[in-house]
Amino acid sequence: MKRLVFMVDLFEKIVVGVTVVTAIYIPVFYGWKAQIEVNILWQIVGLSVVCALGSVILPLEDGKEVSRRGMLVRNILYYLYINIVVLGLGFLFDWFTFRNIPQLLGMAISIGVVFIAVYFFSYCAQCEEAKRMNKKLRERERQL
Amino acid sequence: MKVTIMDVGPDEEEELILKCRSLDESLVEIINRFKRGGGKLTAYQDGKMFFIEPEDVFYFESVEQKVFAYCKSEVYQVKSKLYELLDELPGWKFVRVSKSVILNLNMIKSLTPAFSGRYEALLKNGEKVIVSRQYVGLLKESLGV
Repeated sequence: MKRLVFMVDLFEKIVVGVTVVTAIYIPVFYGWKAQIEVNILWQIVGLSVVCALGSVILPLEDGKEVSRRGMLVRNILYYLYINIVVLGLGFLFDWFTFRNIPQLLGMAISIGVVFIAVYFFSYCAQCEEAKRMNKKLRERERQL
Repeated sequence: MKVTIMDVGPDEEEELILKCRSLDESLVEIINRFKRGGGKLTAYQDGKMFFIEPEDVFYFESVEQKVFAYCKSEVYQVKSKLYELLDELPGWKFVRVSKSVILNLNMIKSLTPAFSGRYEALLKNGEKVIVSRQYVGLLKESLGV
């Protein structure tokens, strides 16, 4: 159940990230007047689901303890997985062609941006959690 | 609370009976203090025995089967295992933050996020202790977050 909650949370962040990046990517490579099909919405949702499913390699908060190095390796593997999924499905959905280098670079940059954005929001959530705990620590201090 | 002390015969075993409606944190601490023998921990340093207040310990760490108590500037060895200490120490003051560390909540100055879902606890003596991802939930629960 916790794994599912984790995946759904990640899925939401990926959907937001991919939507924003798509909103930038399309005008850059196809112009502001480009027309898109409804399909793209389902493509974004499907791609985000597959990306979120790959997070199975990332440990849960109260799961098995993983060393700092182990965590780094898992994050790198997950990043590679995301690249394969997005480039593979993106090619399948005709979002780009491998011959068009600027588009390919745009995709690679987009993946990096979404990946960093998702991590940044997760880090922000952790900072908020730390704030709440520090508040409780100060309350505790006052009671002593 | 009423305190009653009764004489026992020479053949009778000494006994502490606690009559209460419910066991709250303070009563549990009294029981644990009694179990520990006066509330102080027996600790060792350079072959000498010391009695230290658990409240003075910043954290306990298990290193190669040995458990050490880290105070403000002194480090002592204690004979108890970490899981035994967890039973003896007051739960609302001490919490396990990793496989090898029990931390005194009252000695934490602040908490900051660290890589991979961990937190770093800055202690009042300037030392830093890592709160493992696995134990973050327990820490939050202890703090009432």
